[in-house]
Amino acid sequence: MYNRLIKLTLVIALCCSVVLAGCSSTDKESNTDTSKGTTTTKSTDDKKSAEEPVSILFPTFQVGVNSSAPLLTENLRLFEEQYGDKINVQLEEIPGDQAYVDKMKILLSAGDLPDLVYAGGYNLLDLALAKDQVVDLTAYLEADPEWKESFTEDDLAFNSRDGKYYGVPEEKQPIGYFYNKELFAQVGIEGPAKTWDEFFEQCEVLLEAGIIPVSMDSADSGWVTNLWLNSMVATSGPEGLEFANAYYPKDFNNPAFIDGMSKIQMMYQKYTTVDAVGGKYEHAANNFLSGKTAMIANGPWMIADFNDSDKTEEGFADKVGSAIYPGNGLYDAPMYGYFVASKDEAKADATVEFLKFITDEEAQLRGLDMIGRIPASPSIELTDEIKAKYPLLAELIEASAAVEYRYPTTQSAWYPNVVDRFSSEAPALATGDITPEEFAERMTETAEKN
Amino acid sequence: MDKKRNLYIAIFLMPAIIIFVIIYLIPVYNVITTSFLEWNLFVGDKTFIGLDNYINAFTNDSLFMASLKNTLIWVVLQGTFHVGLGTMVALFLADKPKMWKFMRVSYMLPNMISGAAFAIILLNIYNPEIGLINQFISFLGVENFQQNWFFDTSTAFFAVTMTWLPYAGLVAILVLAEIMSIPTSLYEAAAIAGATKFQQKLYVTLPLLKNIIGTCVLISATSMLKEFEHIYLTTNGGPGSTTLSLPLYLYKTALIENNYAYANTMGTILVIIGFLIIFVINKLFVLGHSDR
Repeated sequence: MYNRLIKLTLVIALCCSVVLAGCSSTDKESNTDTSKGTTTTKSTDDKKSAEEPVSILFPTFQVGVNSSAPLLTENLRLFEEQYGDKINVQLEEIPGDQAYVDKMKILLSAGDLPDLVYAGGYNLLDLALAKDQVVDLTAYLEADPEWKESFTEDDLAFNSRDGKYYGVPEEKQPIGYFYNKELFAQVGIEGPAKTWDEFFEQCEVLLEAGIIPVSMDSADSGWVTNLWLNSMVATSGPEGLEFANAYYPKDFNNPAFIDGMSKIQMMYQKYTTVDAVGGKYEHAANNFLSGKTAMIANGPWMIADFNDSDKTEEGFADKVGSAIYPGNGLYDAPMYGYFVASKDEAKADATVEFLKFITDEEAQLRGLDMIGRIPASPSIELTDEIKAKYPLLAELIEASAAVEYRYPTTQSAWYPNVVDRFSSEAPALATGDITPEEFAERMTETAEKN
Repeated sequence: MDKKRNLYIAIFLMPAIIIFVIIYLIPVYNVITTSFLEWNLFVGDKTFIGLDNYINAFTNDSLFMASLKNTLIWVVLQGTFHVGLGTMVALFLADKPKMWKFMRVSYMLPNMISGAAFAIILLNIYNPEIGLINQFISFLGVENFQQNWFFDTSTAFFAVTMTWLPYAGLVAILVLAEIMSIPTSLYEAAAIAGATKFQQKLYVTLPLLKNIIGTCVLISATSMLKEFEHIYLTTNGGPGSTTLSLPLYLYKTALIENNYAYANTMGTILVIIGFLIIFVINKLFVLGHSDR
């Protein structure tokens, strides 16, 4: 009996092995060796590839209600028209940027990144480089000077490691804040504050008139709140500016940060909505779009929302002004962009072709025209037509020329676990359960884990 | 005949065993073995570091200790209060009061809605400005009541716990089915002996429910070892670490800190706790032995 059982087990195990080996060998035939970004194809389908379009996988969160979705749809349509017979872009929709980042990290750990990855603001690039999964774009950029000139040297340098280009951005993202001119006028405020003292005086005036001064949040990354915080830190003096410009800081126990957190604590307790504590970006945005709050810190992509009648009242855009931060500061740092993670040369070539199509000057102009996206190219200037179409954008760009302090967002400069800890601890700070000093201590403790 | 029977048993068990080994056993083995490594997505090589991850967790990681404490409290609450509530509802419904079928379905509803959707519903119900709870309290006379249930340190743990603790529909259904299967002759005999309805419940029904209640305690208590989505979608473990659970901390350690080995250390601890819970509950309820 036992012999029979053993035999039966072996037969089943053999069957399983054959099936699994079959799957595995199919994979191996189409897989490749990757060495320092350059690839050699071993596919048995090489002959077919000359006839059939090369398929590339492109997951994205720029779908659904994302403000970049219409532009991506148009880019895909135009690409299909031009390259449809050679390259087939397989779009994978992942709603929500955090879900996108989580999925990319899982795929990265499994060594299975898709062909094109967006790293903007999340620093997936260094993670992927550590795993040797990024295609070197240097040769592609050098072979096409026109494409290379679509980006500033600073942007390219930011996406380079050891003299090699690994990524390209599709836009610039200067981030200031928006204010409701109508609410300002109601209480006699003439315009955006020049200093932080003036800013808090304005908050007090608005509050006395029964208007909630600022939109804030704490959930997810506490995006809106962090924009106020880092601007306060960066414009507080040389040490603050140095800290605000530091990538991956590990010590938050410094006077500039603690003072900034004290002000954030006061803003949570006095100058914002009740739902800010625990609230997401959407809550903060809705409060501004509904005219409940007078100010919100956010990037130019929000301008599209001011004209969206599904999100706010008709004509709301006319009530909004844009400004740089008190103390003469602005988020304006080089950005991570797209990188290519294809595993064979044919796919890498096809992916770069698609990447060119969505990031070259023509695409940047399309983005500017369609959704008011600020071009990465230094040679693209705002026409009068664009200025008339996006007056807030023009206002921000004009004001940014005189900016004294420039710095990156905390989302791109801090370790991801620090950003997450900020979000977890912010409610405790808001309710006064912890002090700004304790908050800084906890951020430091978390940063040191990296 | 016995040999043939055993052969059939082996044949029918084999697919399940193979799937179990491939899907569960090998990954669990990987989780346990990698918990002794230093393995971060940033770091290229995996290095053997023995028990360092475990020592660090228990001696140097306040978030781990907070998440472990919260998880164990929830395990106890779910294994006692939650099951007790479900059993009481089942005992009440067993008398088939008016509209008992409607009540049975209604009580089951929160268990039928997806956890993610239910968490979002509760997030709005507990909302400090527009939430039903605050509006109801304001309606009762506390003017402009604006308690931030999920994000105030004093109420967050309670608010999160209330997203699953009262909804014992599954326990109620299982216990009710068991009650329905108790032979009526036992109650008739008890009635002849002079037992009141309450005494019948206490001395006939409840002892016969030992196995199913033990099973429900097992299911409910171990469900807390994987509780994730309600917390992730409401407080995300905050404020601070007030509502941080071990599975959520594991997730953050793996996907946000990229520290896979340390996350697997927590996974291993969860597996061990799971085994301990099963062992204790089996001992307490002597599960697997028929009472009839």
